[in-house]
Amino acid sequence: MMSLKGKMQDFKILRGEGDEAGLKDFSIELDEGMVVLDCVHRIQHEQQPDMAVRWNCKAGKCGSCSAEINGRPRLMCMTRMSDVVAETPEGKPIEIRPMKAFPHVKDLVTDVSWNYEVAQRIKPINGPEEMNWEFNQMEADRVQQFRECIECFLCVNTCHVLRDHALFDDFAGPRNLVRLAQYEMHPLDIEDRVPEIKKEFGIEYCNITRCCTEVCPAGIQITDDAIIQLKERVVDRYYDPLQRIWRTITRQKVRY
Amino acid sequence: MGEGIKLPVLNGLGRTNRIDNWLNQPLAMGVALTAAMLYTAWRLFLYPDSIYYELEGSKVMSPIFSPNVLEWELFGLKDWNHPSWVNAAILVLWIPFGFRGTCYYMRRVYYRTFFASPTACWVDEPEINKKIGYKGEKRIFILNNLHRYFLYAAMIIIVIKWWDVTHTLHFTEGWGVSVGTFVMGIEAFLLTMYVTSCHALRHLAGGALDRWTTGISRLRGKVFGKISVFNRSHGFWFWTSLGFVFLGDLWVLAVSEGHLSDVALFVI
Repeated sequence: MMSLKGKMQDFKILRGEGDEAGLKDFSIELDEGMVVLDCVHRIQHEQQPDMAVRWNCKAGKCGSCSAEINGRPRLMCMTRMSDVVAETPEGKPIEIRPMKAFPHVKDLVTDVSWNYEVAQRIKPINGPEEMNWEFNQMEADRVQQFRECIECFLCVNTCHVLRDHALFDDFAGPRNLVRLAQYEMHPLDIEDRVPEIKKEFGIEYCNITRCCTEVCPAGIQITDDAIIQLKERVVDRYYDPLQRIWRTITRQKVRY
Repeated sequence: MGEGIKLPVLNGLGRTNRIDNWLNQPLAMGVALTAAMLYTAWRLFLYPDSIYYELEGSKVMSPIFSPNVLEWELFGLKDWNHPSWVNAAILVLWIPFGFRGTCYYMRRVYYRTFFASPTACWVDEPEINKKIGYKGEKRIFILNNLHRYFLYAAMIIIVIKWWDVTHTLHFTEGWGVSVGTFVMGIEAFLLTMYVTSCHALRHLAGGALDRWTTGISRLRGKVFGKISVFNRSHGFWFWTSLGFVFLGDLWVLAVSEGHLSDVALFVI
């Protein structure tokens, strides 16, 4: 592979706030082994000390440095410059923008607080009083995957229901559907969230185009393991006449 | 929603900041699906001939027309004086059509290719999508919730498909294998994998439960785990099983019209 050391690379990075925001040109010398966040830091250090960028762990675990690099949402700290240089046509700048779906604050920073507001409306896990919770490994593995979420909100930014149609009031977004799956499938939880999943959190808005899974840096199977599983539970409750008859015969009372 | 204004965004069909070849995949899939539908329509309505061939007493059916319900004694179908446009495929194909049409993988494909909703991730949707107002899987797409009922029907079809495979083994002089056996066998295998890796089956097998601790529920948990492994490649089984239906049909068409000839590989 071609060495990046000493290569001059052009960037276009979104700078400013409000109506003033726009792409600005930068150029820096690259080093071997850099990630995109290193480049942003170099520009900040050498040329633009007031450039706003969120970052923390530099290890893909805190979920702070989400941005759209060449139009593809990624974590800046986990995106190698060797890959980005290879995908960018020779002589063209690498473009870095903040996440498009959220309100813009400044430069590469967006306001993702909507996600936390939705999270607060979700009923927490309600298990046995005594904290000697025991379940087997098979049951644990299923929900463990959902706990890998680092809340980078790349999936929310990617989801066209929010990105293109802005249905923030009707749809919970992939991240919070993963949270709902995590609680709803917990082996000891006794709370029922299915009516809320359908009505309040609008799971039917998801048309499983799987972009959220494609973008997840934690490798969570958001569509297959969280959303589709929840959709099937909604079908059980609302759209399966045989199950409805069965519930009537066996006198199972559920909420609708 | 927090304070602050949204960034100026690119709006309109195909507007994006992406620089890769994002159109390739949806385009290829759209062409493949359109070709599949046109070919099926041609075979069903315009050329429903040469749907099987016989080889030394064994019988090889085209995958499109298998199971040939018009040969069944059941429900008096064999003696039914049906209109000339009715054939086995017209009577049966609604099941695989319904199953594939409501499939969780297929939904990804057709929302992207035919509805541009969205064509590819991070690519903007056409203005008309926004004018109509996005409702997701409500409105007409609420029918996708019938997937599990098509699954039940598809499972019956699979059993009959394997039964049809056994007809290719039974020669006048004994049991044997022909190329047709492999054509029908591979097709039945791919369809079995496609149905076994289904999301709805996975849910009904064990996904509906939260606890897999004792007896039956533990077994259901294990089945859930096994199906989950196949489920990861649901798309692969979707395309291979779909492709093989047409390859198999072309083979049967070619042999029964004398362009190619099948041979009994061995008979015991």
